[in-house]
Amino acid sequence: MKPVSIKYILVESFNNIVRNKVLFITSIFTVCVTILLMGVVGILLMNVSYNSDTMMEEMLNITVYVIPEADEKTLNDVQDVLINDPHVADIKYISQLEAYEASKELVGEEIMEELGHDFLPASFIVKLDDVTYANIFVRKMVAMSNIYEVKYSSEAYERAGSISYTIRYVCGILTGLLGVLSLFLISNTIKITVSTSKEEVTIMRYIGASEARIKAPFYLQGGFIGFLGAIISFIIAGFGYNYIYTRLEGSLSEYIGAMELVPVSQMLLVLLGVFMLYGIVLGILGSFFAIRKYLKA
Amino acid sequence: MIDFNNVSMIYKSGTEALHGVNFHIDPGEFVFITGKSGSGKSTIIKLLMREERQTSGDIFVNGYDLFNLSRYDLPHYRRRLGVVFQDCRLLMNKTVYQNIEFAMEIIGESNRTIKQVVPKLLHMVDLEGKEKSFPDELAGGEQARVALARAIANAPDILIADEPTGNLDPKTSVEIVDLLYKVNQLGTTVLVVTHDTRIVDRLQQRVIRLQGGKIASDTEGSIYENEACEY
Repeated sequence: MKPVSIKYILVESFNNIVRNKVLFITSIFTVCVTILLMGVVGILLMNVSYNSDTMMEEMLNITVYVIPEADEKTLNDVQDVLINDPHVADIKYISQLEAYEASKELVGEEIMEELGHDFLPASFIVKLDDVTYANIFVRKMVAMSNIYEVKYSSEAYERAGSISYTIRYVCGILTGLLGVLSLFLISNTIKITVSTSKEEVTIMRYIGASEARIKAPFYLQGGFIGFLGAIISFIIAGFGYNYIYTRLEGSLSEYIGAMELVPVSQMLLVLLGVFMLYGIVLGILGSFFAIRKYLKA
Repeated sequence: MIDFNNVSMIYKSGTEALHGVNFHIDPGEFVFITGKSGSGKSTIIKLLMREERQTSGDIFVNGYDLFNLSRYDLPHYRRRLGVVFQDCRLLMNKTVYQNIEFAMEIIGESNRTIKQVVPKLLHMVDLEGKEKSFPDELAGGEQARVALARAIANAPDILIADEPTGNLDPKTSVEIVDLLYKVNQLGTTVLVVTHDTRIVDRLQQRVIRLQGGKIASDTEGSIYENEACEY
């Protein structure tokens, strides 16, 4: 069998579009609105996630206190264990003297002098790269004989984990719902195109056109609707985000503490990729459902 | 070329359209299939087009076992058939040229071949100068010619014409049947389903007459001289 002619598929897709141009424009518009809605939700969630990451970084410090009588070898052993842990992102060593100096400022020089400079244990401030690993890490450190105490805010960890989970959960549900809506709309458009091309399809089958040749223009049309919807949404969302970023950046921290927005370039890159992928996949999938139902061989 | 071996066809509704039909058609033959409404003519076309599958018996066409024809082989099989429908089934939004071009394009013919073949076909069916006309601008006979040109565009081995003169006046019917005969003379097997006695009489070819889903007669030449009133 001769290969499917690209020219034929392109021409037929174009003809389908011209034949149903009002419907085509309506579909692009609806897909565009859906992707934009998803984009707005995505932009919000990305910013929340971006800031929660920053906040989590601040919160997720674990302090590992070594026994006060520890010698240099013991300290080196503990340091080795920390360095070799794959989830440890950063380590900061606080010597007994540094702890003593810091405490002097807090509780007063007289009291600290009475206690002596070797009263406080040396410690390591550890940052992990994975929130969910915290409990395992703490248990591992506590089990070591030369560790005096491990301090961390389990509540902060749990809260951070819960924020992260909620963001993913909400994002997943909204994206799913909007996706179903888009699928329905695209599928409906292709269904109408298929029904207006029914006679043509029947003749094609009688003449001996392969199923791939019959169906390809409809898939292309669906993909094209998704693609155009994604491009328009990207332009609108991109300009919109740039405008908001320019207006709010700098002044935002005055109202909401250390909150800052995801940089425009970073956001645009994510939006372009996600919108394109989402639009095209939705378009093709929408076509698939319509073709499967209304273009049975 | 075409073999019907003890073919029976019962539709889902329970209607028995064919009962133990046997016939063989050689390459290059011109055959009329005639009979009253409900005699099974249309069912034979549906089976040949593989729109339906027989309930029992075997059908072999061009070496294909139609009952066991896979979905992949179906387009290959149909490319060797040309079909002219009674209602022509032309695409109204395409010109005469585009209707014929379409048939070649969808099976992947090159532009070069299409540009060479379509004018020849238009010449053959005497439609030169009508290339840019749309079907609804043509007379019934002209539409039938376009349908015929489209059916033979891919040089099929078998041409099936389903009541090709059904909606035409006597003069135009003769022109169409002469064209079918011309195609046959070029080597294509032609199968014409009709109840038009005039065209059957005119050509004096083999006639398979169906009655109640069975073959009533299979003869050379006209069968209507004595039974024309039956139709």
